[in-house]
Amino acid sequence: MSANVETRSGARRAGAAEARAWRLGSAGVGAALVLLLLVNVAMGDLRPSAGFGLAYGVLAAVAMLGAAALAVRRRTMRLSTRLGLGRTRAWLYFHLYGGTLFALLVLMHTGFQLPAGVLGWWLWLLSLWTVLTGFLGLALQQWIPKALGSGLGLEVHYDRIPELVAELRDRAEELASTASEPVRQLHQRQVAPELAAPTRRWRYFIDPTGSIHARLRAFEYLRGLLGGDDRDGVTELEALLRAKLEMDAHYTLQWALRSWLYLHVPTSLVLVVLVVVHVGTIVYY
Amino acid sequence: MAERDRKGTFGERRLPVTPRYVSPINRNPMVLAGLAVAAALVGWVLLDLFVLDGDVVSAGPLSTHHAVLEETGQCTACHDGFASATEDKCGVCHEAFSGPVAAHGFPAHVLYRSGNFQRLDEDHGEGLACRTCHTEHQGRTADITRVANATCEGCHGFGGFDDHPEFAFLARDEKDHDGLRFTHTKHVQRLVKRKQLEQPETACLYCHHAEDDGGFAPIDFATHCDGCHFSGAEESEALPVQGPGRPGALTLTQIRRERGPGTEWAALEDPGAYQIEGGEITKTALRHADPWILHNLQNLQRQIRPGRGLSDLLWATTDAAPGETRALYREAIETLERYVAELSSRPEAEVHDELDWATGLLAAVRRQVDDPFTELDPSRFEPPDGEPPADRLEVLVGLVEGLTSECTKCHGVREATLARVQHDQSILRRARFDHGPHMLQVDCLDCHDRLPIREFATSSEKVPADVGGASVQNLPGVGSCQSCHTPQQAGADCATCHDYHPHKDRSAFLVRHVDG
Repeated sequence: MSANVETRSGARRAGAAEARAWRLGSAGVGAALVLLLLVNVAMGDLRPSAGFGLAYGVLAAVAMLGAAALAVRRRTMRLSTRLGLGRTRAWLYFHLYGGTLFALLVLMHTGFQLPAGVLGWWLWLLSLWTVLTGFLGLALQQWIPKALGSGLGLEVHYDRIPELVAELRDRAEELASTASEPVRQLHQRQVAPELAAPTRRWRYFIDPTGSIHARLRAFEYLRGLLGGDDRDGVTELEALLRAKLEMDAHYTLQWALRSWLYLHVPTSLVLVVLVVVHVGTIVYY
Repeated sequence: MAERDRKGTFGERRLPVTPRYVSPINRNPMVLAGLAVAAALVGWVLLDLFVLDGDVVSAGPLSTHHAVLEETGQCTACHDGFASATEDKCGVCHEAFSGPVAAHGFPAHVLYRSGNFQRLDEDHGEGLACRTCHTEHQGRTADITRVANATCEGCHGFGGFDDHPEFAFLARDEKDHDGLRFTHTKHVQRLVKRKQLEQPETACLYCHHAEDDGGFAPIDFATHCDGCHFSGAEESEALPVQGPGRPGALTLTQIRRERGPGTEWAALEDPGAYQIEGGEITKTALRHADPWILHNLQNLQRQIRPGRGLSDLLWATTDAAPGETRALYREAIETLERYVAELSSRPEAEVHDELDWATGLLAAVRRQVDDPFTELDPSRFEPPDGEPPADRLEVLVGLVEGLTSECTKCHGVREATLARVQHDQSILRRARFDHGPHMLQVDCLDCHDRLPIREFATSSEKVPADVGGASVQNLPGVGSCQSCHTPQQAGADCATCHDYHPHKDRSAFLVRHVDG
């Protein structure tokens, strides 16, 4: 047991060192690029078609292809492992930092000017969109797991939420069918509509636990008015509703965690294809 | 229920653990959506290329000069299929590009202000396409005639104006032109004193008259010097009159009797200006370029160097500016044309027959000299190999010195010939310089500082004899220009001072040459 903990701790330290190395390396490359840009500006020729501008464009294309290779790496795990193409973590780091440098290189390539031409605009907007949605995904992946793990008592798989809500709904209905009139009324008015189906609420992005507590305040008040079995019934309904609301929080936040990819991946594919078209036209002309 | 119990429960509410494997989310629709959009866009690009107007793959809107081509969908006006714009396509509307002397071609650039057509024969590769420097599709307001320094640096081997080589006349430490014994410093000092000028720069403008092209009019004796020099009281030294076997100066009567070419002036001369006493002659009321002085000087030159070749037709030495041999030939032809014009007053029919022949010959020679591809031999103006007559040389040289004693107050004399004066004072012949905007920023002497003009301008101290000279090269080095011309200040583009294409009048000349 102790050996396992030490191994896990060592791996965590190695991971942190690796992350720091990538961070510092990327910052170094970024600083070198900025220095190059300053030299370029001093020489006074900041155009996409000039020597420096072309070099930025080529580097941007390389960075983009390297970042996009993460998708290929993930879909060819066995083959990549067999070929010794490195750990997925390294590919992920390149995806993150290479993608960031890609954005810088694109701006340097265009001379920090708005693009000209329809294809130019498509490439410019898609590049910025892809990078910005990448940052969004990174932020969500950093924040949502912590938010879900810190305040909620329930941990649940996103795909099972509809099924589990149905289970809660059945239990609440069963409880209400044998309870007194006040408890039945409470179920009918407050609980049953909530348990009808999983619901996404924007407020979970702000405060998952706070919004659940706010919704359960009515149960506290009722419990003070009732006695004996009715009070137990209210408490049970409150617990079922709390579980459901926590599932709603998961349903909302896990959905965001999965859905940002729809903002990122399809546009990335379009970008890769259009960059190929762009490079093709440049080489041809 | 039994299945659920077997798998277990979780959470406070004892919710059932799933009895089956939960499949990971299927991301194929996401990828397919991306591929579908990408395919649609590629389809749009292809449709636009082959069916519509090609706007999508266009790198951007054309500049306003070519915008009409875009608005009317005439991609083929510049492009053949997918190919870049070709020079021939540009040449449809602009001046010719192809051919050895096309106005916008690379060989024309080689001519760049040098006017040396012989350089066209040198191998300069295939040259540059128009698009190399003039990049289109940069937007409506783009100035495609503005060319980045990097384009020039590709061939000219130095990076930016801060790396510009020193001006040639300084780098080669060329000697100042000594055609004139002119002391710039002394002239400014006297003008400042006489006109009571507050600024020494004002004195500059008494002689240097600005022209519209940003330069100054050539210095001319009648305009700039006559006001102070040659009052009419100057006279030559007394020189022995030339006789049989005795070298000396020709009298007006002797010259009139010659009736040779270049003597027509003698008929109009006042004989009273010539005083002959004791076998010596003195010319009074001398004037600038006095014909009696020049005629006698030529007479003495012929005795010192018999058979002077083409240099006999020039009044000054043959040391023209580099590449100006053509000007010497033109000057020689003009002298011959003047001789022909003088002789045309002769009544003899046979003389007129000869003059008709000579006129035709001179016209043919002038055409040949004006043909930029004719290689002219500068050695035809060099002195012959023969030795001057040793026994009389000292006497002849003494005569030249006496004859030119008044001339040599300002002019240099070399080998018994007046030194050539560079009228236009042009030094930086391969660049364009406009004094106008510079004079708004600085005073003349801020840049023209190689002579101590400012130091002596308001001083009563006598200017030393060794200060100055004609100093048409009173120009600073390139460092002076570099102090203001930086990318952040006054601009440091190559095109600020240099042209790639020859000047417009040269372009028109080239087109005429091709047609003719």
